[in-house]
Amino acid sequence: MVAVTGATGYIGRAVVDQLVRDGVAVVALSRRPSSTSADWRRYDLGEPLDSGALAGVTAVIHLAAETDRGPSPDVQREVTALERLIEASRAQNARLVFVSSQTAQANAATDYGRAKWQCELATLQAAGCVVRPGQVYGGREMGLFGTFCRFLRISRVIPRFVPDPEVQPVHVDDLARGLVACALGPDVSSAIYQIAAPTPVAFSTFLRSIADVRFGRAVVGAPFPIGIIVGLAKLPGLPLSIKGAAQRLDSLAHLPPMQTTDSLAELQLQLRPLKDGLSRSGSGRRQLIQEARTMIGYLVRGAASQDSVKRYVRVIEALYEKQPLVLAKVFRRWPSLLVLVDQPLARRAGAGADFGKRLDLATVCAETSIADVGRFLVADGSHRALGILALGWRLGLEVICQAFGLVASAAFHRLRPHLQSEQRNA
Amino acid sequence: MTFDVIIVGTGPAGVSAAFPLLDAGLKVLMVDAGGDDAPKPPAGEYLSMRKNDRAQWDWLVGSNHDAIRFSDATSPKLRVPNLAPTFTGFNELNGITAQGFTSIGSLASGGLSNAWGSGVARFDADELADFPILPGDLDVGYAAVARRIGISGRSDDDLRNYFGVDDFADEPLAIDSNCGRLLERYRRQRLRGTDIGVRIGRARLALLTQDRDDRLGCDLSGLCLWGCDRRAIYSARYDLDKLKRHPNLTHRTGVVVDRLIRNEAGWTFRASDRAGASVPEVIARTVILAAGTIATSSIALRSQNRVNQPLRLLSNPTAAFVLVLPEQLGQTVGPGQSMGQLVTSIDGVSEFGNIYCGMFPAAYIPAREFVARFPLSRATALDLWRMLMPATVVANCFLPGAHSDHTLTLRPDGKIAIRGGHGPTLAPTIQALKRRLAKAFRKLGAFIPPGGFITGSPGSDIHYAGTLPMGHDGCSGMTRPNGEMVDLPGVYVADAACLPNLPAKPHTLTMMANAHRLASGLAQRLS
Repeated sequence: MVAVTGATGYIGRAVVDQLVRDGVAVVALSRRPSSTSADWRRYDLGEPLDSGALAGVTAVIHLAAETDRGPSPDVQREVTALERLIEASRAQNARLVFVSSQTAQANAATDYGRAKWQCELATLQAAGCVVRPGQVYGGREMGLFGTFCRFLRISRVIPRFVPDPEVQPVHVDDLARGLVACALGPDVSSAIYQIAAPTPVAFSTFLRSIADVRFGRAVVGAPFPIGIIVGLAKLPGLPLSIKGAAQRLDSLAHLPPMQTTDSLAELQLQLRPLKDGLSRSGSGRRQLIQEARTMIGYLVRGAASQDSVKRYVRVIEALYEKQPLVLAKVFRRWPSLLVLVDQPLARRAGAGADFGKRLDLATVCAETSIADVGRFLVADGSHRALGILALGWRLGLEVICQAFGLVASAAFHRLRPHLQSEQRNA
Repeated sequence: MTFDVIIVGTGPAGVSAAFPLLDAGLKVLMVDAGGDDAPKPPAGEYLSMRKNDRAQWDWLVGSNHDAIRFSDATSPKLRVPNLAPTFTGFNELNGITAQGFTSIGSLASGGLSNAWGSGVARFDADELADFPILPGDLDVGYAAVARRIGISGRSDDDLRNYFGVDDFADEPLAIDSNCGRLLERYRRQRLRGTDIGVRIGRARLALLTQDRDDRLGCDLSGLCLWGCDRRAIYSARYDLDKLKRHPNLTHRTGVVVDRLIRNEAGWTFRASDRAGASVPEVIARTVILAAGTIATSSIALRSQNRVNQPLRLLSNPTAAFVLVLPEQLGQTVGPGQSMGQLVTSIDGVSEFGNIYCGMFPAAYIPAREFVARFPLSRATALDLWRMLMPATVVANCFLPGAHSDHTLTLRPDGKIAIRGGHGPTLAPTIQALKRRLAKAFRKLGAFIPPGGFITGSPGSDIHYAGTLPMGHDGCSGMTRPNGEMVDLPGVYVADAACLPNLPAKPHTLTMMANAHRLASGLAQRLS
């Protein structure tokens, strides 16, 4: 049985889910009952532990922290809470996993960083594990990630700090797996584990990726010189909260990158790429629906029927690992323009095999939908002459489009629909 | 349990062998590897269902997305949901790997006949020249089988003698308008005394035109490819149903036979049950292999542990083409049947004999089978196909098996390796065929559009034969004229594996007639 403090928080929920998936019994320690299938026991950071809170527990994952902290959190409160947990888990002979922060340092710029540092020391002294996560993202829109999402949902402009700080992303579910590995792994030693992508990305790139993958939109970066902000924040008369925010921003900009490779190897943890992690199942489905509408709309030269869209999406989910096609916005807007990249010559050269497969699928979906049957069968042969004339017109257009595509094939190559994974390999 | 005869396989060869044995009062066990879980075939009329059936996805694509999963398969048959159990698992469970060859077989009751194009013909004296029997020896079998399965297409045309089955055949169904036009123009040319370089006639098919026992005559549903709910197209499953009513027949399904084992009491087999059940101990004096050429060869090789000795494997190289009748562009299509309507026979192109082309309307086949090949953007391809489809006839050409050069080998690890190939004259022969056809049909006012002629991949014809050929001399690796394997006394080969050659003409009826012949002989000896 594993106890999780802060079980209702952003990371906490992911950890509980992971434990449940692994078939491990969970005790959720939080102020409010957790909605998951975990056994709940009341826990408040500021209060002494109920006796028996850790009864039967073999490991404790400590995630609870002051979230609505001001500029100077009650450092002592956090340290005291941890000490209570250390004592209780020692009595149970339970392993303690303390979730710290990248900012944890003896001489951190913020009180928060210094508090985490003290906690880390205490944990290591008690032979526990310390985990320093990178920039956590993905899953439910909670925590800092939730803040980013809410911001990007309304804003087309993001701050591009100068200098642009770097972050090392880690998907919340990957982090959860790492924490569970620390708690239950047979050969995990007492040490500090840094769980995050080994290669940092610019913070603005990180935000851009969220906007792109999750909301399917591009954002504009507005330059935001950190030096000036920090300077301005020093002016007297500003509220403490703003001063605190500026201070944290400053610390963010000066974080040294974490060396995470060894930790990931020791925990046998493989992190998913940022792009994969950001697309949540819901938005993936939305993307697939959009793809279906575009592809089928192109084929039927009109609106795709609901039936055919539904089937298209279902097949991709069942057979093609739910991978959406990356379709340029211009095609989503005007599906008929796909004719420019749907060139048999390019197809013969082996380009866009995945696009070809999707075209086949779209053909089948349209063909089996009674709404689009007129695209496939001549219902009334009495309008033959008209039909032949229309066909002549289409074939004429086709010649023009093919010629155009041939001339501008290099330019269109960039637009050719492909799978996200294909793009990564390229 | 003890039987007189064990028949491995319930396809057309197996059931044809079973009838004479049971008639002689012998106790017979038939085993196959199952596959009765086919989804129900659609009922209705193809075109109206395409317009009105909201659930057409279920029979056109399948709830398991068969039609999408098998997109790369050469034959549309391999994508049909109703036929999925017919083809599933054959290579995996028989341990077959193929290189440069499409290996397709069936573990199901009824075997490959479930997906049969149902073309029937009798081999003529030339085609039987390599058989170690007298030409008349198959007559009884031809008659018995033809009467049993029910065939149609009798017609006083140029192919009457070529098919040689009109004595047993009913009148053909009404011909579709495109094929009707071609045939009519061909007749006029012939009346004028013109030889256009090909012979054309009605197809002779194992297709009922009238109700018969528990099978109903064709009602032109156009659903032939998707599963005939009326059972008008022959499948050995229907014969198996009849056989199962016989008290002396035991049918065991779900059993994949690996090899035959001989002991003092007779023959038994090592087998696995697909559902993991235990296979009961059975024994018989005689075994008839009728599992289909590839499976039969595999069982025979494993039973002898004949490792690394390649068997020659025959198959019919194929080509396919479409013919367009321009005046039919954009016409309304009516109900019809999508089996072969016409057959074109071409002499003098292949040095190994005649070439056979079955022709059928394109209207009852989904557009997706065609449009991907068009040198056009897909949207325009659909525009074009919609108008072209009513004017199009599709043809499948089969070339003599002597062009093929495949081998089937048992490897030391127990797996079967098939390697595909063909003789040096195949490519020029196909080119010559293309020219001959284009020229002949131009004279009939029909055209092969650019890119409208394609060559099939080796093995995709699913006409496999000749691995354990019958011969006079009785040397190792062959079967005797009575069907018994030289190396495995008491084991008979009833399927196409024992055919000494494979002409282009459909061989199934001959294979069945031969199974009937050897089982009749066996029945006499055993009873």
